[in-house]
Amino acid sequence: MQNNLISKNFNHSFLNSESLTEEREKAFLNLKTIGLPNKRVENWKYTDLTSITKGLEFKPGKVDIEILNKDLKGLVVADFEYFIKNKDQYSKPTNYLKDEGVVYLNLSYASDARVIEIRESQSEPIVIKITAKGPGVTFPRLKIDIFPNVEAEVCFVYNGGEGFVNQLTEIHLGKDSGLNLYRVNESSSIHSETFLSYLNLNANLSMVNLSMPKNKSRFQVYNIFLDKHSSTDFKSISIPSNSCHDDFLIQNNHISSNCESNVGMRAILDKGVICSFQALIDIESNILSSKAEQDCKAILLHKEASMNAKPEMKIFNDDVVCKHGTTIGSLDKDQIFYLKSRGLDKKSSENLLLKGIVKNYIPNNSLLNNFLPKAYQ
Amino acid sequence: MSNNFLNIKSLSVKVDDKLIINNLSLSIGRGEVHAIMGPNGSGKSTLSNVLAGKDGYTIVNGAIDFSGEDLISLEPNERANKGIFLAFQYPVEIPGVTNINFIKTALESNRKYRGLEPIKPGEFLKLIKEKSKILGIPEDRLKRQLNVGFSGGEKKRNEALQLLMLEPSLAILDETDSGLDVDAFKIVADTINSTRNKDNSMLVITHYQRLLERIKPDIVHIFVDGSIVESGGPELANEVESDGYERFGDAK
Amino acid sequence: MSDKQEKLSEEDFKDPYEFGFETDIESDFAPKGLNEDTVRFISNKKNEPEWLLDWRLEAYKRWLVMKEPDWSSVRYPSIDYQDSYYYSAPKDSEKLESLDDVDPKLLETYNKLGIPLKEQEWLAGVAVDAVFDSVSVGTTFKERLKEDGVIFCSFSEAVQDYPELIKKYLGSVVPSTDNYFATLNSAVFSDGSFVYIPPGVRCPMELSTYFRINAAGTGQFERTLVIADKDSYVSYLEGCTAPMRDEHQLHAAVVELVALEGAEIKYSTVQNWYPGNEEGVGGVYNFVTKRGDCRGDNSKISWTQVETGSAITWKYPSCILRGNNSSGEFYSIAVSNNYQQVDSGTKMIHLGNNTSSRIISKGISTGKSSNTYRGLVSIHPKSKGSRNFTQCDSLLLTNQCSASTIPYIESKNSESIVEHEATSSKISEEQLFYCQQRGLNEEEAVSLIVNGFCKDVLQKLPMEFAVEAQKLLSVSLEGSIG
Repeated sequence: MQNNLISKNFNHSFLNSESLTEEREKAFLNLKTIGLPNKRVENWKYTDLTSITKGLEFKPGKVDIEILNKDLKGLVVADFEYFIKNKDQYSKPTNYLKDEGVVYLNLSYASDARVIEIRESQSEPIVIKITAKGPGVTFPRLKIDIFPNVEAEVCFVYNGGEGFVNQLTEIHLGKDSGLNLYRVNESSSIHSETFLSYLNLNANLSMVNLSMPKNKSRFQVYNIFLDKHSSTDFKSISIPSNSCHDDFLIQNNHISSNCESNVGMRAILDKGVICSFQALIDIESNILSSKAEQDCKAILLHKEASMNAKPEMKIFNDDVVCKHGTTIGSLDKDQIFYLKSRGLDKKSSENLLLKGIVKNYIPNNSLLNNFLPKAYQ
Repeated sequence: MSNNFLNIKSLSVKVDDKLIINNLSLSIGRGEVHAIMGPNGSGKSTLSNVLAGKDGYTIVNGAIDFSGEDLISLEPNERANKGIFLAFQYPVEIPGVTNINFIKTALESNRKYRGLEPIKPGEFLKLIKEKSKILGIPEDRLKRQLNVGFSGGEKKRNEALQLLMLEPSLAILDETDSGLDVDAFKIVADTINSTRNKDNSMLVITHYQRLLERIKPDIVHIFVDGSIVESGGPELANEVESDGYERFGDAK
Repeated sequence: MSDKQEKLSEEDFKDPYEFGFETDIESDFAPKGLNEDTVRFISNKKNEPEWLLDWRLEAYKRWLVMKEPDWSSVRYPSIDYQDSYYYSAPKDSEKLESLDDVDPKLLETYNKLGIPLKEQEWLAGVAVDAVFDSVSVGTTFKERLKEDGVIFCSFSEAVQDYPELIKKYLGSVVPSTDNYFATLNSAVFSDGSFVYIPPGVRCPMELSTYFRINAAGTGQFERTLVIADKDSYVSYLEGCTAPMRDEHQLHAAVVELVALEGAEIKYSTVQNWYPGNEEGVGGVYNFVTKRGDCRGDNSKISWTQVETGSAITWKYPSCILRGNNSSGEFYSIAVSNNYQQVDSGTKMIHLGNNTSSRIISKGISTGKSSNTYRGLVSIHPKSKGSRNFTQCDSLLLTNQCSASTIPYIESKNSESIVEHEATSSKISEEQLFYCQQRGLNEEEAVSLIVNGFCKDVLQKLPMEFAVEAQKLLSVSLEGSIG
């Protein structure tokens, strides 16, 4: 499974950091064994990263990580130094993702990092902008630590670039904490983000993801319920630019009892777009009173649009209530007819219906409203 | 041995460490109709579930004797086959199982227990049609899935139909009047009342007095905080109707 | 006073696999093991034409370089393909002139299985082809069917009598290179059933095949080919049993259906191969490739299956919806108990315009079993105005079993609609209590609720099969509540 990215252009000398040599060596060894994902890897069935990164020039790229309102009270921000001081934290994601090539790739080369501790509840959102510049490959790393009993709002905004961004994100939620997370992806790079959340007792993570990639995007989420009564609620809207590619994978691993997970996906797909949704509900044995739902609706606007869905459930205990629903198709013809009969033309009827779908996840008062294309605001 | 049919002695029941029924004693003789009235949350439904043998209740003290036999050690189906019928407050939906098939299966099970031959299909059909007619249940509802998509009233009528079909010796009516409109209420109540005879007993659990106007109880018990605080004749029901439960120590 | 209603003990529910008897018949075996000579031996026994031997040999060579699939959720110790017999026939069965010549012991076996093999069972209206180990031992009602031009015979006979049809259609739906087990089957298949319904004919009776593995250490590799010519209709039933054995028996069948313009094929299966005992010892490994091709416009193929047997079930009866307005259906009940493993589902491949498919899958897991639904719905870019509806429900009865749902949904046409719904749950305490309050014991209550859960599928089965299936469901679930 050797890839030219690793074996030739992307050799170890690419490493520009003296720090964490041992951890990097180990990660690189794993990367060489496992390789970059390709479509034969079940989880990457719909995104062949090996082939889409083939034509890229593999040199270090440039990425800016900017944190707005970082001076807020109760906020402690660190950069890559954090991992040099806390070596045990560096490879933590591999405890949960043992055979994920993109994680080892990031760990081999990461140099841009931000670690944000949110120690007190915040009344205004913390905005983190990640902007890639020009060609090349970058490895941003984010770690957000929500302290116990803290409530906060965080917004990620991704933009720019012509190369490949391989991002690694971790969210640690303390006991009784809550995070409302927003994510806007307008990146023009090939963008791959691996996202892990660790939820402690009674923690809640809610996310609204507005995915409007201008290239090929992969967003993979692993929610790990470390303790009871924790919950996740993910809503994702995919509106890729024409001919772009959006791939969303989410796994909710119920390894504790009394946890709840919800996943919603809405996709509006125009010319040449390929969108994928892979969601897994995994309920382990001995885990009681689990609740999990998945729900996916995709609208194909153009004859050259396609949608892949794989809503998966693996249930090893009978004490569950799990549900899933997926529909893929065009807009409802009866609804359009109804609107037309009230005097709207075809185009405005369609727009109205699409707006309805989007507004369901991103209402006017949402932080993300301004990021929406004009037609949906 | 007592002449009584159902004997509840010093019964205390806990749910999740909370005492719901507190040292309750109650005796019902053959052919008698008793009513239990009480405010919401007083433990009335718990009593009916405990009598029918539902899981999730811990009997911390006391005994229940039914027809000279210890009831507590019996499975719910054994109790049912011995003649205890619970008309549920909220009958559950069972998708895919038709109403008529369910009633037939239940009836067969009861008959088998009593050592009776299976009922002939024609006879069964005749019987269920006759009983449905009395209750104003249209025949097509018999073919529908059990309680699935039934309105509250339809479910209650269906409970009454099962009561008529199974002919229990002790019928427990748990808030059977709720969810019924005025006309349906009359039909259901009068039909149930018509099954009264010297051998069959009834325990009518209700919040309001209106059901007791049509199924006249021999004895009325006022149930507050898990035990009977007062017993008397039908006039007690009237008193509750006009004055509420306050006099009986209910703060609500 | 209540001894009649005494709670039945575990012992009472141990399900003695009803069909676990072995018939003592002398068998004619091919030498143990698999090589080119085995393939030649089988072909020679069957007196096959050269082209068919070549076809088999080509498949065999292909099989040698193929890898056993590992993508499914089933786990089993590796199979030693050299440790099995690939051909076993009750002796002298080839020379049978009429049913009267069939070994009485065989007929007795079928009587035990409840198969109306004799002509006198005419009134039952079922024509039966019975496959015993590897060979077909008698097809009933052949004459009556002939009047309508319907061909229903063993595969071996069809090779002799209708070589042009076999040559035209064999491997046309499931190519010999399709997958590991189908390729193995192509090399060593020994018999099976063949059906041809001529244009415009509505087959006057249900056609039925019963498969039974009898001889020890025998793999069964039957091949079924059903062709419904223009505007014809056929309903085909398939039943399977095997004796109880400690070792695993391999069953790798291939079923190909071809529906031409306006034709309809309804294919129903009640699969009750020996599932192994409570400790997971023994049982049939059932690796089956079933596929239907809606080749003509307005054609229809419908699969209905009730799967209660086998230690391992690996099967995905599928439809290729090639013709415009063609439709495919998959109705499935899969029950797994003890250590059984089921990985089953379907593929609906929409190629033509206005094609439709419907999938209803009901999985019931209990004991320590695992039960997986795996399916694909694919709408190709040129398949305009097509529709799919999928409903996938799992019921878990114990906290040691598992239920997985792995659907792949791929739509490449904006004018087509795909809908998928899935649920996983247990039987609610309230439902159980309600039934028990009406006098049903726990077993009866579970059985009633499960039957209700499966109703959408059960009602798709032909009447006589539906009764058998319901019985099977109850038997399979006895003593199974967690």
